[in-house]
Amino acid sequence: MPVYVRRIVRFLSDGKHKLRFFYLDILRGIYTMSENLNAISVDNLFFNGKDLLGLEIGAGSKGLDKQILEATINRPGLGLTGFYTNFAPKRVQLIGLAEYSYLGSLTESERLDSLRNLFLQHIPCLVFSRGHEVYPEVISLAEEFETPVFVVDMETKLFINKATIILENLMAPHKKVHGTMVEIHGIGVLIEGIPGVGKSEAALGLIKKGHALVSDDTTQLRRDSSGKIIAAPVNITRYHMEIRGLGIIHVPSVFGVSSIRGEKKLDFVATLRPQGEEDEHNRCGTMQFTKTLLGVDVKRVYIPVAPGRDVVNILETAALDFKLKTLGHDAVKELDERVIRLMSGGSLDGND
Amino acid sequence: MIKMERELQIRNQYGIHARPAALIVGIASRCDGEVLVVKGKDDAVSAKSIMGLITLEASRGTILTFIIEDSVANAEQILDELEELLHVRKFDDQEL
Repeated sequence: MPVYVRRIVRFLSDGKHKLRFFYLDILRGIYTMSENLNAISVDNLFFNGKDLLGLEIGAGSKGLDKQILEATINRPGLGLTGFYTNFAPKRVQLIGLAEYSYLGSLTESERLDSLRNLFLQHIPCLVFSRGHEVYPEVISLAEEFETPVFVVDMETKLFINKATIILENLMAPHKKVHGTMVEIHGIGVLIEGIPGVGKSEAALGLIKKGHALVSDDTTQLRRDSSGKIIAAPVNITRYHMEIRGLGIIHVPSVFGVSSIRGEKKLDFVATLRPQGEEDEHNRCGTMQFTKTLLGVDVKRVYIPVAPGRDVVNILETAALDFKLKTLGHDAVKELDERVIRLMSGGSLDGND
Repeated sequence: MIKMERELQIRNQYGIHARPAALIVGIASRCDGEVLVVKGKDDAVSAKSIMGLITLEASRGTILTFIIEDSVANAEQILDELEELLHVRKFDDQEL
């Protein structure tokens, strides 16, 4: 949160004004709205795409803080002829073979005009594919408009495919959450709960049983374009775990490479909590819970923790039960149907 | 829900690495409620988690905001202790 917003919040929180909560809500609303604009800077794309795309900066490095607002690539095509109706200026602009040949067919002054019009659209950056030499006009325009120009050796279609994936990943809504992510029999489970409830210990038990760790204690979530939530470790602490009494361990060194996974789709959230009254309400498992993460409702199970309860075993079974349910097999429902059938005078095997 | 916040600066040489993280966790764990730490525009992490604190990548000079809910009884005391750890003790680091 920017400092000035925080000051206003603090000023309002400390005050006794009657409408302070009302103002605070509005402020929070505006703030979240501006935060949800998942724009990234050209610098960010350059940093993350340097190696994968082979981006090299040609000119206009002063404009690296320009924002890319849409996660896709646009080929200006018609724009170069002067037609800018419904042009998409929020995207990365790409000069492929067709655009390059068209620009080459123009006289020097026509080319300058055409390119100046393109830069006038407030584009975030311009990319030349196939290692095409950048026209000198482009370099002077890039400096004038402070708009970065890049060159890549890649073919146009290959660049579009790769860059779109990188942009989508960078611009996907993401969130760091407090929880341990594991993969159990191919099912992605986020184990969460208050500090000290035994998240890491449960994960350790699962690893010992041959399952894999994605990340311990702090997990990075992102929502991909199809609405799935993908969990990944935070780079700096990747594959390290903190176990009370032992300290920090490096999981693949201790348990081998099969004990870790790069990233995993999140299937359900397992919330560990000290056993209590509320656990008595869902003894059959008929109650369904969800947790909203990045706007997606994810299935949630509560697992009561108490001395003598084998949490690892329960988590393993929960994952298997989840798998079974996705295959359309619901144990509670089937048992219920059997009981009702018997009560209404039928037999257990379903024959009247 | 009103929250108590305190902005503290990292003043030791190498920032929050494993040992300083453990010192913060030691203090935060005594808090009766959740203690969150925010760096800039990033998501909050729990101050009771060593892994969480390390992911902040907080180097020397970084400003961190520690947040505790107002209703927590010992919130003020915990924030004071954190301030002493970061500003006065500077994680007991040996200055080179």
